[in-house]
Amino acid sequence: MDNILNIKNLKTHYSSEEGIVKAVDGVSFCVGENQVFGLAGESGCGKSTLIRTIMRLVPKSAKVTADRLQFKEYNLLTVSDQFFREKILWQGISLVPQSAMNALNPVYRVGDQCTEAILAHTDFSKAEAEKTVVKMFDAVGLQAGLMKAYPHEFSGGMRQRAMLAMSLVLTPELVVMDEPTTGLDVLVQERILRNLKEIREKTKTSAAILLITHDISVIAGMSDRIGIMYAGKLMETADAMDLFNDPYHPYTLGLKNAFPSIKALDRELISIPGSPPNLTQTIPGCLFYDRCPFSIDICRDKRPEEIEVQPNHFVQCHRTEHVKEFRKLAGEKKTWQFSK
Amino acid sequence: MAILEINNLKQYFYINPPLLSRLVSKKKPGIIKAVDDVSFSLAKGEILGVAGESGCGKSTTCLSIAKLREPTAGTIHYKGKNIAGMVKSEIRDYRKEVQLIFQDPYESLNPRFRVFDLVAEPLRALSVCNSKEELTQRVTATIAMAGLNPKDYIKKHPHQMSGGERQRVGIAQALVLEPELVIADEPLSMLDVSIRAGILDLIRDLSHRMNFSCIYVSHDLSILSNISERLMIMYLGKVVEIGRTRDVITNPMHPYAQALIAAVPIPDPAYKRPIPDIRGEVSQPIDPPPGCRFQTRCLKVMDICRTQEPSMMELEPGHSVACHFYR
Repeated sequence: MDNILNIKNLKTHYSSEEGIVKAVDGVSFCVGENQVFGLAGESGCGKSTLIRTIMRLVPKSAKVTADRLQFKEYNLLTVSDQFFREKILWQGISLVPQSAMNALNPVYRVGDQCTEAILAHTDFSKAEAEKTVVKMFDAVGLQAGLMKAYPHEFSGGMRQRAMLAMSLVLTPELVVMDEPTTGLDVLVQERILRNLKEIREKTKTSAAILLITHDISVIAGMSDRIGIMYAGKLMETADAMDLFNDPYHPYTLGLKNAFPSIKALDRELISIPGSPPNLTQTIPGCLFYDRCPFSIDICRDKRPEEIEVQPNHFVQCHRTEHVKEFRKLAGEKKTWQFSK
Repeated sequence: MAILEINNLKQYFYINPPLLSRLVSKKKPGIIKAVDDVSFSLAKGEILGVAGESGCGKSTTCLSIAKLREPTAGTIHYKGKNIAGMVKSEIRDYRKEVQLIFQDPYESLNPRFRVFDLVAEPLRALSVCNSKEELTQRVTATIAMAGLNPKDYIKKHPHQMSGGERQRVGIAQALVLEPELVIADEPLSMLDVSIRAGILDLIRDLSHRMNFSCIYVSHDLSILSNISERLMIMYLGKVVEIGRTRDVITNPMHPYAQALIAAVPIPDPAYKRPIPDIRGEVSQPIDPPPGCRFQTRCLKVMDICRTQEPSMMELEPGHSVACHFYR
């Protein structure tokens, strides 16, 4: 399988009054063709900055460096803004932004907004463009008649589906979704995620998806591969099944116990003490050190390297050889009751 | 004995379009039946979960209970007394005993207050404490109970704290008056997942320790399944199902409850989700048609559903459903 997005050691640093904010600090991962890559993390972990960096939406003052930031054959670090806008945006990579509910222009008809994207990037006639949009509207479960409607006439779920249709009209190879279902009701969320799966099965041009959310349950149901992000770093990356069945990083172990599930009514929830570090600080050791129940001196002093614990399963932790013991301990509440 | 008895509560909103829209776009006046004929009771020390999609009337119900809105019809009895007929001094006591925990700790705390003053404010406003020492003692004790070290926190402003710490201050504010009933409206939705469990535990522990009853409103059934003892599911202003949480989650009977529970995401990649039996989207409760509110989306709809409104029926002990299907 070819990788269509290849990221190696990507860093995005903002400068602020308090110092340099290392919002994304050395992230490496690949998204394969037709793959759903789920990126999970708490607020402030840098997941939105990461996709803004890919989409070139970070402010000019942000400092972006990487060993590799490649989409197909294009080096996204060097291609010109014009080339990126004309050739890569929409046709190569499209974005479903966070709060897509408010991303539609309120004074244009929804259908016109979708056709505009096609007309701007291809030499389709208006009729052809509209036909494409109708097809996409149908795929996401919106009636063709709704193309004439204005965004305010849509419910939240319909707007979200319109954004989804819009992101797919030019059959991009990668769709980046930033919290696509946050703020929607659970039935609407379920329907949109199901739509997404159906479209991928129905249409031949099934795009790869980079899905970003804080909701592990959504990621679990959608993704082939999952990355767990914390304080600007990818702490653990693995195939979905491996990550849930054999987690290695203490943060992943903790997150698993922090999530309620209606399928496990008797399971006790355990929260991770403390809060994420301030990203302006220079921390020599592991960024999870303060909140980790299994940390030892080396964790404080030395930043862990990314290691491959199993084929295609990457972890940044010094203590992976003790993981069997940690998995057992992480399920006990008292393990997480400590203060440093 | 029930601490709270709600009978046939109705909360309607009347929409009167401006003259011009009435003439030009032929908009007609209408009635939004946000809460329509809701009845339930709450036992002392019990945590009741209220679930439903946006616009189902769960927050409006809370506002009526907190006496922040006068109901259109129906009664709310608190400890056997109708809250509509309370005189001023009784309302004052009611306000002391019924407290709210708000959704957004980034918005609900006054940014100019320090934590001490934020938590002391309810005591001062209702002049509960006789001396400064008593006030200080009660405030610090409550902050400690909310899981924050008073020494470190009383001098802080909201902007110096994380979301989880702020929500703990919000909880301390609600609990400093030692309430008998706490209404929590989506208290976790703005918080990160890794700290949610801690706040849930806190609310549950304190409800046992201080023996207060709690109405916990959320759209997230996974959270409700964890914290609540009984669960009530609402749809467009109506209660469709109520029962012990375990019964409702494992054996939902109303078609809406079944769809809602089937749609809850499960943190397990191996889980194969059934497709929820439901069609269409939630509408607004404006001038609803006769019969069941759920008829337009229900796959089991029968003739009677279009004409007659279903009433609550107890199908198992303590598990009631409003659906003609079980008649």
